[in-house]
Amino acid sequence: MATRTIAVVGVPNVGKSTLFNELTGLQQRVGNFPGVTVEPMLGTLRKDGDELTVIDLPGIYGMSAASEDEQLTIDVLRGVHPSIPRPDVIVHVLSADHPSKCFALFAELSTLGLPMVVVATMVDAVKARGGVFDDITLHHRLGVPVMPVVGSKGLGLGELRDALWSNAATLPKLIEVGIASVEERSAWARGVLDEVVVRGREDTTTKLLDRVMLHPVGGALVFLIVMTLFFQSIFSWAQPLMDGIDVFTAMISDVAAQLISNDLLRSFVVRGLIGGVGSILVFLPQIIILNVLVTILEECGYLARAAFLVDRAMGVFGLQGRSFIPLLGSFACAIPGIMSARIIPSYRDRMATIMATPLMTCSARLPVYTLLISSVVPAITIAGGFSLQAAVMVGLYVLGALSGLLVALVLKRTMFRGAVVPFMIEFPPYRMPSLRSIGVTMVHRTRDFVTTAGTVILAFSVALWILTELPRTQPDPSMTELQQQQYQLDNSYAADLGRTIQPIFAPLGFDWRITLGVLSSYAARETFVSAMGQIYAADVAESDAPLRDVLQERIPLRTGLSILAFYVFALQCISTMAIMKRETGSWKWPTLAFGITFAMAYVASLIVYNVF
Amino acid sequence: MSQLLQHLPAGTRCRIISLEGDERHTQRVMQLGLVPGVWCTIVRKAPFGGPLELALDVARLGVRPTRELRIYVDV
Repeated sequence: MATRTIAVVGVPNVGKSTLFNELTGLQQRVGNFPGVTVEPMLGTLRKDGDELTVIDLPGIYGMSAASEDEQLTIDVLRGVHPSIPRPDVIVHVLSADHPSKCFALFAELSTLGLPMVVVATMVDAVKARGGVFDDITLHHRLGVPVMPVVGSKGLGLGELRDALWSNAATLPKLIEVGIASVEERSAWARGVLDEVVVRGREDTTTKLLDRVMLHPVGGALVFLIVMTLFFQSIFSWAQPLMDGIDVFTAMISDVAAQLISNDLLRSFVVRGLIGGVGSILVFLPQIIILNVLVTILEECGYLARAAFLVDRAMGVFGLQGRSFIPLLGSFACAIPGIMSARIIPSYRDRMATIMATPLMTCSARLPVYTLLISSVVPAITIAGGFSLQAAVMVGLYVLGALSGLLVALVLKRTMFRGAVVPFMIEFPPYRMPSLRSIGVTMVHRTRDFVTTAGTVILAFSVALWILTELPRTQPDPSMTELQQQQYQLDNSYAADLGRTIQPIFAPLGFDWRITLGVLSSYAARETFVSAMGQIYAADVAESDAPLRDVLQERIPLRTGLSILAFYVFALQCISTMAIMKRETGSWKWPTLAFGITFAMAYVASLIVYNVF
Repeated sequence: MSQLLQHLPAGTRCRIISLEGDERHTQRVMQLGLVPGVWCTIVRKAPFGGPLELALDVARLGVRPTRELRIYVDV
């Protein structure tokens, strides 16, 4: 059974990924091709035991690349990609609403010698405004089937699937301008446009909305409101879900603790396994909410406007408007942030942006901040009603963002020196995001997060369990349970390790326990909380008063602030470093980022510890 | 007489005369529709030398020209 491969190709913002999501649903996986930094999505269509592989290639404007994303698509289409096979059929997605640049791309695709099907999106939008899209004339002009599809409503998808199964794709007419200059292709495309499209009324909604959204004052206000809601929803909407997960893990722990009689095994299951998995799952709501919000902002067309608005401000730091999108994403997790840096065409801008992402305050820092701030910062109000604890929290976020931008600036002035790159972005029309597309994104991000980050964190929490619970000691049975746990820890491998490394961190005010917590954070930051829980032998749950009270007693203010300063800067995330390596193609960049951030963290902690 | 796009005030309707600079950049703006001969309107200019919002036939673009991307237009 030979599997045919179908490539979905198109200009950015024509609804290509929506179509791909609608077409293949959850039958998707990230393509795992050796040596590929940009991983295209693969989907499968099945019918009567037959299979079609659908590959979603990054959007292109023509057969010359401006970014790494585009290079991949072009290499695959030309059949020169080392590991991704050349497709058998091209599904060219074009927008009936903005077709001329799509026609220009078609002219280039027609020279490839591959059978094609054209899918026209947004036909409904053209018709709704009283316009006409003549797909029959277009079919005669291009020589391939033209199929109108309304992706968000699923109209025309059945016909498209049938066409793919019945091999309806045909070789296009050879369009001579396909190998001519951009100007000639553009002129040809406008000619086709005049033949097949009768424009309806102007898209006044988009025009009116942009009058506000792109206005220097109005746009800035909308931007601030959107950003406030963005962070608000990540942190407050996620809270009930996170609490729910905490309660759930606690319940499972209790059940497991009662079922297992063997002391060592119980400790392993409850503290090592359940505690470890719980500390991952608790971040899932934030990660999902963030990804859904970014998808919505992107699909409705706002992200392009936001990039336009912040372009000038990003210019101060040597970056451009497009860098905003990966940096914004990094406030939840640097991993999707780094991956979305692929949309930045300039290599230098892209690298500088990637190096700044780990300094954006990701959601894994949040539990560490919450625990430490509530333990060491006095719960008083300052300057007329502002909580000091909240002020410190906001300060840490601002500090992280500014330092990330400064790192980018320094890198742009030194390693990534070069001419100022022009900014250009297309404003897609505003539209309602497709619910199904959001749903599919949600499922995929969840799966990616749980598998990628989950395995690492779980492995480290098991390792931490081994370090803290072994070798087994025989504490005096007359001691309280807490004292027994304390005794076990003081004589564990972890204590040895902490005491060995502690001199390095001594100038920052870290004792061996904190050193151990910080070290365990190098697997993933949030491990600090459970590590503190394990180390201080109190309840692991950060919301529980006991741990907070224990820390309040044990950690003086200056040490607490010194730890916080360390966490603002330090790149303590193996998953982030792994993604950085994959996206930049070398260990040089994650190593450099690790070095820079460690130095920043150490110096900042040193200063803080000695000032307070 | 042709002049640089960014020197014109917002609201100006102008015709693209030529694109100069780094070929990667000029090719890309042409793919986005800014081809010599095409008319466009400067809808808005972001403050402090930020990008320009341009309205073409149907497309709307945000563009910040630099030394590597010089867009000459005629009013």
